[in-house]
Amino acid sequence: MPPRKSNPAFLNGVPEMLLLELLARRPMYGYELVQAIKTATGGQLEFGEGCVYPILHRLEEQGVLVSSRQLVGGRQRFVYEVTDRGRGQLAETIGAWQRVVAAIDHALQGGERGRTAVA
Amino acid sequence: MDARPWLEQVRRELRRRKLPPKYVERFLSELSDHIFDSVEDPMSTDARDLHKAAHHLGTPREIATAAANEYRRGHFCRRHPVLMFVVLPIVVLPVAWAASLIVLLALAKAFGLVTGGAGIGGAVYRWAEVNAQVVMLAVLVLPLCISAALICRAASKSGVSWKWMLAACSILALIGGTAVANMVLPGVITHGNSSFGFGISAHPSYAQLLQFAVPLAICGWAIWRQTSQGRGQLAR
Repeated sequence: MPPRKSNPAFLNGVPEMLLLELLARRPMYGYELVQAIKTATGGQLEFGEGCVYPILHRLEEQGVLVSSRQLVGGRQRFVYEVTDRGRGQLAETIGAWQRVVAAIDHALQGGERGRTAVA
Repeated sequence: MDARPWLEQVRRELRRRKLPPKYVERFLSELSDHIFDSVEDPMSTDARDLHKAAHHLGTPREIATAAANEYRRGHFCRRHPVLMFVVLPIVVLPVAWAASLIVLLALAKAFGLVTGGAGIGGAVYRWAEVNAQVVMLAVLVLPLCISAALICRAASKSGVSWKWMLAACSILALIGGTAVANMVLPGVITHGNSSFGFGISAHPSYAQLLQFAVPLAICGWAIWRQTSQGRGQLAR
């Protein structure tokens, strides 16, 4: 079995943001969501697909997602959707992410007197 | 290729990491759905190959590690069970007792029962004279009840093993069972006083037995409730 590529540690919190963003567009079940991640990221983010579920379960427990058993494609599945609290958290996370990206980008472009980014 | 051996391996890894059965069953059902979706998806390269589909999910060890990490990240009690269910009961009980004694003394002062004087002989004084021991027992037992109930609730909500609940309530019972308190109402020329301490005797008083039993009874009820709810959810 070849070694699995995994995302570096600085991507902490990114899978959660991505999952929330995709689920904010429409409710999805696990497999659908994994395919949506692949499509949305152009396959750039590699991860064990099974590791998505524990994150979904934690987000559900934190109240940012809710799941319900629904009949989809002839099978009962756990369909996830974002709660109002989740939408609020997503907006905050995206804001913080954009500030960090802008700051890093600025630094990489040789900026010396950049503004402080607060994540 | 059958995906069941792979799922069984995941189940074993999840159990080895002591994840609750309810969580394990839900997770396995989603993984099983995922594998079948992957095989049935005409766009997937895993079509008709369960082994390949399972491989894309990750190794059983990777999955179980991720699940255990995420599960523990979800709740403070799961990350720090020793702090929550061993250290906290030892700390919280004296604080709760001190708080209830302060409330009692404040009430006694408000009704003039600390220094005597105007309060002596009144209706409140007579009531306090009759019920002094009951009040002191309540001052000891109520914090025990509240502490045990809150800790059991935290354990239930976080889904940690019932053993942590039992450990916390046993500590509460042991400390609670040794506590003794007394209150003497003021007389016309004497001041009232209250005392609080710990003592172990070969013949404990009924009050001490009650203080010992209450946290364990609350724990027993909480464990029964948790296991019966768990069985109901698994049956569904």
